[in-house]
Amino acid sequence: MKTRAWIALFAALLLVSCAAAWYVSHRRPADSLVGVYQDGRLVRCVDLALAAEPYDIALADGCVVRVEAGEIRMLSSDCPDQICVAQGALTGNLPIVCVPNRVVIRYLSEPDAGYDAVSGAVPGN
Amino acid sequence: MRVTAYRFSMWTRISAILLIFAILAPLCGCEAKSPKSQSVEFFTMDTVMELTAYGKNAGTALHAAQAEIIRLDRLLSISDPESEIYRANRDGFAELSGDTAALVRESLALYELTGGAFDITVYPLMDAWGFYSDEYRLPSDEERARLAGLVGSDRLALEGDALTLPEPGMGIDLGGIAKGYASDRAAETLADNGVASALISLGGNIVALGSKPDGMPWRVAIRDPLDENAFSGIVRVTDTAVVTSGGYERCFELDGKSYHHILDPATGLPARNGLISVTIICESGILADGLSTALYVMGEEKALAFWRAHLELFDAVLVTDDGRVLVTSGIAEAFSSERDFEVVR
Repeated sequence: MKTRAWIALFAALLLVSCAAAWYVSHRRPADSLVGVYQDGRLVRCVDLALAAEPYDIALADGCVVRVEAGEIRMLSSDCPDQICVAQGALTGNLPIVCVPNRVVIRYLSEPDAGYDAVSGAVPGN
Repeated sequence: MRVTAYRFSMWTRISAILLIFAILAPLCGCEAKSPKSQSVEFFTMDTVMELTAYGKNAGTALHAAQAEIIRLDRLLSISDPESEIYRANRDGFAELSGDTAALVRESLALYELTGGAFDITVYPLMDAWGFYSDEYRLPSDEERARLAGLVGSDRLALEGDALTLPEPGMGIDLGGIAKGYASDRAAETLADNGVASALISLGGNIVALGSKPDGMPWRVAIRDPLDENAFSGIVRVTDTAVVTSGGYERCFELDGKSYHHILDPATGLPARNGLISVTIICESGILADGLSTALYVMGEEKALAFWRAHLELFDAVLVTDDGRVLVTSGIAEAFSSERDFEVVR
């Protein structure tokens, strides 16, 4: 192949490499994925962006999770304190926790909300 | 020997340079990735625990720390018949293992240090209010007065590792410092297993081990006692415990009035001394845990006087019942908030 053709090939490779490098460094994980955990196991993965109609997830031990309008919350629980229900919709990096029923609802990909942990956030202490 | 000199054409040199760039360019996209973290989440001590660690041995270290916390729960539980505390409360006597004895000693020291504001012998009062059974009730004045006769850590006898509760009906509850102690032990276990950067949350009791992998301090938000989705502020810490006590953590309503679980040992009633949240920031998880309860009981004036008398031990963020956020001067530079706050000296 002629030299100029080689140069054109290398230039094209360089362009593709730079484009790939930019894509890899700028891609972001989906931030609408929520995990519902019970007893430490992921029992349901919900993409809030895809929930067109409201629906409920019934968990063992009396918890019902509602997915609606891009939000997820604990609709009902048989726990005595009802703190998980009162918390409302999942926001930021603060998970919804039902301690008696060992349920945790949290974003799977947590965007930087400006903090790494929350002191005093968990009920039942 | 004949030496052959090679001369490269200009196009050949350009080709070689472009080839080198083509190989190296993708490496520019491989940004220095932050180290991968590993986490474990589990329920014990009646709450949820989350431990996150960084480093090659993080997985092994986390499982060791988890096992240690579960071991401590079995020793310290007031409801597990196999636990030493359960047996002490049932029998009025128990020969304690090393960890339990150490915790009781620490509790007695905190009782002295805080003038009785921290007291593990509130067990019979907590039981009467229903905080153990979740069958909440309002003890009568007579009942509280009778049970108050069983309260007072100075009545406990600890000789070596042998604990005696001298009066029938006395009981102890190490819940006020158990998570703090467990968080310290978890941090030690992680460090012993080669972890230099970790974040431990035991029911909202936070211990930061080292700094973040990028060298920056950990950012710990303090929950707003009046709004579960807001924060009183954020404190930046390294190798520090951050523990918050607030009545909102466990309470019930009866006849339109709210009653929370942080009892004043002197009155047997939920402490209502002007504070609705106390956050302690110090090196020791067990101290932070105990003092967060004690200062809540003390109220604003006594709590700040206590801090001034023990500046070297801890710093604090207090939230008053009229919504003021008070930050002690030692932590003020590391504290930030969208709300107004006062720096206390």
